[in-house]
Formats: sequence, structure tokens, C-alpha cells
Amino acid sequence: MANQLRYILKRIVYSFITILVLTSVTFLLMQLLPGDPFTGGKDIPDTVMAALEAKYGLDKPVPQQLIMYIGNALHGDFGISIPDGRAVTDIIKEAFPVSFDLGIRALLFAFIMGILLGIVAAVKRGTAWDSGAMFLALVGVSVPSFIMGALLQYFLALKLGQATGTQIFSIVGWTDWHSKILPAFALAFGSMATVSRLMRTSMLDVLSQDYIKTAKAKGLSQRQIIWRHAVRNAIMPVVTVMGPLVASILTGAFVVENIFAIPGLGKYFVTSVQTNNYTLIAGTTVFYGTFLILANLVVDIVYGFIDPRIKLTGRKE
Amino acid sequence: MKMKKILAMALASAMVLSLGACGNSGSGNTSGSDSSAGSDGTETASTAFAGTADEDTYVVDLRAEPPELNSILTTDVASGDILREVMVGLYRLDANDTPVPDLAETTEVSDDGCTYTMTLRQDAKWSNGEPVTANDFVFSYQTICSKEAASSYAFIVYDNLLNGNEVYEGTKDPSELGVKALDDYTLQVTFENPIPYAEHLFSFASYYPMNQKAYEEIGADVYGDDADKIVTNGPYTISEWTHNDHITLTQNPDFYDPDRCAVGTIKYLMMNDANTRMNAFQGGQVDCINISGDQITQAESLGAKVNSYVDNSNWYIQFNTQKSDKGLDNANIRLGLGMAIDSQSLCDNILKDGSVPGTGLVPTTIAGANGEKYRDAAGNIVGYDPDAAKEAFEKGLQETGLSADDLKLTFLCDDQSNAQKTAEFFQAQWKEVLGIDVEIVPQPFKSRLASMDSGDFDMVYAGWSPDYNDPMTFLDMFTTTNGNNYGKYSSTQYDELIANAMKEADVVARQDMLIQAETLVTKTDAAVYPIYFSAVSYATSDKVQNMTRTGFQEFDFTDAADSSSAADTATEEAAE
Repeated sequence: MANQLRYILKRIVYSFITILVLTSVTFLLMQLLPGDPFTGGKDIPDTVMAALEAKYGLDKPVPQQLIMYIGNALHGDFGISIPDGRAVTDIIKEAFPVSFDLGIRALLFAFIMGILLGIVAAVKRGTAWDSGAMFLALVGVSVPSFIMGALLQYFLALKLGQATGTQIFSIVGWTDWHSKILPAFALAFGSMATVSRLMRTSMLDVLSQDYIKTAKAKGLSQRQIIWRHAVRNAIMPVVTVMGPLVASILTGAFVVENIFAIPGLGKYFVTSVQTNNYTLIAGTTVFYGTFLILANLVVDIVYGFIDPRIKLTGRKE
Repeated sequence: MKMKKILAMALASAMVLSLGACGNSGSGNTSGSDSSAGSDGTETASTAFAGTADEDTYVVDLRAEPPELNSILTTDVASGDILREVMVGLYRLDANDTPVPDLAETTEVSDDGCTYTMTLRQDAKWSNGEPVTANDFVFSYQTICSKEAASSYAFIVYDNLLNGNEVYEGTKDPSELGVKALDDYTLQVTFENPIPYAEHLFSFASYYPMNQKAYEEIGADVYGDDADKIVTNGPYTISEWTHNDHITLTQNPDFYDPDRCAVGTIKYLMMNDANTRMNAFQGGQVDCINISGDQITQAESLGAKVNSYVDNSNWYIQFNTQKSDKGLDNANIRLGLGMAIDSQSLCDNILKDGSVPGTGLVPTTIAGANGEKYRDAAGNIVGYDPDAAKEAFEKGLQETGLSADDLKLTFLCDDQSNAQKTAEFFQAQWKEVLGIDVEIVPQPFKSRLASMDSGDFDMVYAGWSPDYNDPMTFLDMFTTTNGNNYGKYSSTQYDELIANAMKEADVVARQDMLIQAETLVTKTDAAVYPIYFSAVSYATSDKVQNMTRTGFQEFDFTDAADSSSAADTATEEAAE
């Protein structure tokens, strides 16, 4: 246990260093973007430009800006978003919960559906169930979320709404459950496919193990064998991909948010780069980076709980 | 075997589904909209396209978040749309973009055309209860002309007002700026030069008043960031603002002219995606959306009203006149390249959104002398002429001693699909008419600006939208020292024409100078070659009345009292 704690602490320290490096690299790279944050197609007189640069501290040398930025960031001040004058922390505070809500729904959906599909496909191997599930997975892997989102919006929100006269699924927005199902599904679909394929392979592997035969020989019911012995062992690889999946769901959210006009953080993340909005680029990158690093840390810890054989010491024994 | 069968069936059904999706926009929709009209039951079945349910609310797509509602800092169109509904200034624009007095009850102009003395109406109130006075204008103009405020639009005030530049630079005291409150309700504004479009300036956001008390209480940094962080004085107030999602305006019960409002509530949505907009529109969740040229037939088949207006922007090819190795220092080569473009075909076949060929730099909508449009007075200066293009191009090659194969011209444009399609059209025209190969260089917007700024281009596809309703805003940018003159065009004759026009008080003489300048820069010297005046197409549901959409007012719902009075009362009466 002490070992485990020390390992977690060590990981936290490493995470912190990673975030610091991420911040510095982002900060330096974004200064290399062509153009400046202020010009929008019209030349700004030099005196006005100087006043603008002074206001946002861009008149100082870049290393000094970086040190000031990190200093402020440690106090929770990520600066002011340039075109709209809003505090970056306010933007994140307001937009991220929406993206998080969407992401969590998508993640739950992807895992629950993916795992179930994988189990069904493995257990009913070679039957229509299997091919059906794997066809769904094939579609999921090959249809990107922006097409899935657009199709769902057109058929299930618009056309179904017009045909039945009641709007079961909203076309746009993020308010009640009507508006939350389709975006979450569109975002989850690809990940669900990944999970189900992984789960199927892993299940098939486990089902052919000797201990399953032993369980069968002992006369355990099919249900007991699958849920108690097979699934618990087969789920490990799926947990491993959870970290990368969180990343893909978070970064993929931009597209889905765009289609369903959801006021999430994804849009800020992408448009800030297009508009050279330095403070918002740095703020959202550091925030997402931190979030992903934490997500991976949590996955590692969860790993240890699911399979007690894995010691979180970081050493191979 | 069995698996293959299932897979084939599933694939086949997917294909059928996708076919259905493609074919649906035409015939399928009529039945769809019928059934929705019937089951909704709120609107009469006779309306072709009902839109949203609530009678006293218009839901309108603004496409993006208005970034800055602080009138001292704002520069963009979307913020201007909101401010136009919630703020009033000295003047406002009517439905035809003509300035009419608003807060200014009477206006006296001095003989030299530089000093405006205005008495203000006394019944205007800020939403914090304070009266709107002349001091609010003095505070606003002095603030925008200070470096601390760091407004990127500051020059539109300090370049015009007396002592503006000196005050901005700090060499003169703000009290010396050309704006004075003679008493609480008398305002005097003094310009450096006579400005024919002064009344138009007075209707712009940068010239709005600002309530000093509120500005200081809320704080300059956060003013206008949220619904509760702004104080307004106009026909509507901001009742709700969810960033990046919607902003709702409701009628201000204390406003002095309530008849002006077209509707009780306006809800602006922010939908970024063109297909999303169309779906939401079809689904009756929004009453007005902008549509692309490709969406026009779809919108019409729904029974929606489709309109378009020239949005005051021009698009042109700017030549880098410094590139002598590529022949671009030669006016004939430039003219040949320009005249080779069939802009009518571009508008009809590629843009398809109501855009019109650019017959000069100044769009058709811009005001000229004596109530005329400038374009009508200036006429067609440039246009497509393949034979003349070839002739000029050959002549230019002879003058420079270059051969067509030496040129290896590049064409810089935005990396958006529309700009690239247009660039490919140009490329084909140059090949066809002049027989030369031009390489397209697409870049992201900010990169394109940076490349233009550093002179790292041969030809660039650029556009301009006006800062005020006068040809000058399209022409002064090509003077030798102007920061927007990326092609480094330099002509003493041109510089003199513009400088003289700026000082000229006689509007007709001034306009003649501007026409000469426009002819010089586009035809004689062909430093820039106009391509088209861009347009915006939009679809509306049946219930939207009294909405103004023009080049200077992307949205305005406060013209109900004047523009509609004749036509719409008649239809209302007829309906009753």
C-alpha cells in the first residue's frame, strides 16, 4: 500500500512536470503562428497596435511573457481571451461542463454498449448475432462522427420529427434529454466500435482458456461462467484503452458540438488557433492536457483495483 | 455463406438509406412539411413556411457569438447586430441605410462643414435609470481616443475628430478633443475636415454614447461580457445570454419610441454549420438563416422566402507591383490578367448567391453625392474582355521583354473551399485566355494576412468591407503610405487625388476626384482588379415582418415605425 501511494505521488509529480513542459512548448509554438491576434483583414495603425500589444503584455520579450504566464496560471489566472475580453477561466468554467456532460454520456454509452456487443459477439460466435455486432463495429470504425452526427440529425431529429409530429430528438442545442441523446450517440459510435471489437477478441481468447473448461466441467451455468469468470478477465484490455478513448472523445467533441450547435469547449479550442487567440490557445491546451494526464492517471489506478495482481509500483518483477 | 448474405443485405439497406437522403430535399419535403403543419396545429395550414411557434418571438441565426458588446472596443458585424437593437446613438440608419436623427433632435452644421451642434432628446434613459446626456458622448469619445482603452477601431474616431491624433498620442489633453458638452443636452462635435458621411458615422457603434458611471462600476475589462455587465439605452434590452448558444433581446418598456420594435422578443442563435442551420430551419426551430448559393433551391422548395442583398464587400485581385521579375510592375500585364476573368460567369456558376460582377472597387450600395449611389455616377470602369486582355498582356510582355513562360505566377488565396473554387476558376481563365499556368497557394486566413503584410505573394485574392458609407473607405487604402496597400502601389497622382478629395467640401467635385482615382487604380494602372461585389442570401419563415437586412445593417429589427408604415399596415388591415 505504501508502495502504491509512493507510486501515485511520483506520477502526480511527473504529471505536473509534463504540464509545465506542455505549457512552455505551447506558449512558444503559438508565437510562431503567422500573423497576430488583432488584425482581421484590415491594417491596424502602428500606434493602435502598440496600445493593443501593451494591453495584453505582448510587447514584452517572449521568455518574460512565459514566466509571467506560468506565474499567473499558478494563481488560477489564465489571462483574457483577446477578441472578446472574457477571462479564459470564465470561458472554461462555462463551456467545459457542457463538453464534459457530453463526453461522459458518450463514454458511458461507448463502454456499456461496446462491452455488451463484444460479449454477445463472442458468446454467439459465428451466428447472425456475431455478424450483426461486428457489422455495427465496422460501420462505427469507418463512419466518422461528423457524418454520423449529420445523418442522425437529419433522419432521427428532423425527418422523424416531421413524420410523427413530435420532436423526440432536438435538432440543435443542449438542454433536456431530447437534445442529449443524438450528440452523445454520434460521439460515442466510433469508440463503441473499438471497444466492442476489442472486447470480442479478448472474450474469445478467455473463453478458450482451460479455466473456463474447468468451470464448465464443474457444472457452472453459462451465465456464471460468462459474467464471473470470462468478462472479468476479458475486460482488462478494454480498461487499458480507456485513456486514449477519453482523449479521442474529448478532441472529437468539437465536430459533434459544431453539428448540434452545442456550446461546449471544443469550438473555443479549435477557433482559438485559427484566430491566433494566444491566451485561449494556451488556456485550453493546458486545460485539456491536464485533464488527459489526470484521466490516464485515474485509469492506471482503476487498473489496480480491477486486477489486484497488478502492482502500481512501476517496476517489473 | 450466411454471414455474407447478411452483410450484403445490410450494405444494400445502407445504400438505399443514403439514396433516400440525397433525393429527399426535393419532392419528399412537401409531404413532410404538410404533416408537420397539420400536427403542430399552432399555425394555419395555409402558410407555406410557418417557422417557430411563438407569435411574438423571432428566432434568428447569428451564426457566431458576438465577441465584443463594449461599443468602445467593438469592430465586428455580429456585435454590431446586437448593439443596433440595444443601443441608440445620435443618428440611426433607416431601412435604406439612410441616416436619420435619433438622439439628436436638431442638428446645426457650421459653414465649413466641420462643426456639428446637436440638441439631444431629453426622454432617453440608460437601463440603470440615468438619463442619456451629452456628457455620455464626451466620455465615450475621449475613452476611445485613449491608448489605455486599446480599441482597435480607435482610428475611426481619432482620425476624424479635431485634435484626435494628438490626443491619442498624448500630446494634447483629452479636453481638447473635438467633442464638447455645451450643456447636458447640447453636444458639439468638431471634425478635422468636412465629412460628407458624418451623419453616417454618428450611427456607428464607435460613436455611441457610454454611461460613465456604469462603465466604471462594471469595469472596462469586463464591460459587455455578459447580459448583466452592460448598460443600454435602446429599444431592446439583453434579457439572456448563454455564450456560444443564444442571446435573447426583449423590448425595453422604458424606451421613448416603442413603435420602432418589429417584435417583442428576438432570440439570436449561434449555429456554425450550414447544414445544421438548414435542418433547424426545416424543423421549424429558427425563422431566418443565411444560406449558401447551393442551398437556395432547397430553401425555395420548402416554401420559404428567399432574399439576398449586396453586403457592401468587394473582392479583388491585388497585384504585388514590386515583383518586376514576374512582370507585375507592368500595368499592361496586370490589366491583361484582370480583364481575362469572366466575373459574370463566376457569379452565375460558382457563387450563385446573388453576388454581382465588380465593375469598380466601390460596391453598388455605397452612397454618392446628392442622394445618388456612387456606382451609378461612376459607371462600369472595368470588366471582362478576353480580346483586350490578350492584347494588353502581349503588349506588356513586349514592354518588359519577358516571355509568358518566364512569369510562373502564383495566386494566394484563403484555404476555404469557396475561395479555392474561385481561384481554380481564375486559373482556368488565365490558361484559356492568356495561355499561362498560374499556381494556386491556399493559406489559412491569418497566414494569408501575414503573407500579404510581408509582401510574400505575386497576386492575392483579397476583400474589403467598408468602415463607413462612402467610397473613400474603398479608395484611400491604395495610397502610397496606407497600411492596407499590400501591393505597394505608388502613384503621386493617386495620392494627390485622394488627399484633395479628403479636403474638398463640395460633394460633387469630391466625387469626381474619387471617380478619377478609382479609374486610375483599377484601369489605367490596374494595381488592383475588381472581381465582384459579394451578396448574402437568406431564407425566412412567413411570420418575420419588418426585418431590415442591408450591407450596413446585417440585422435590424428597429425599423418598424418608418419602413413598414405604408406597406405593412395595409397588409395588416387586409388580413383583419
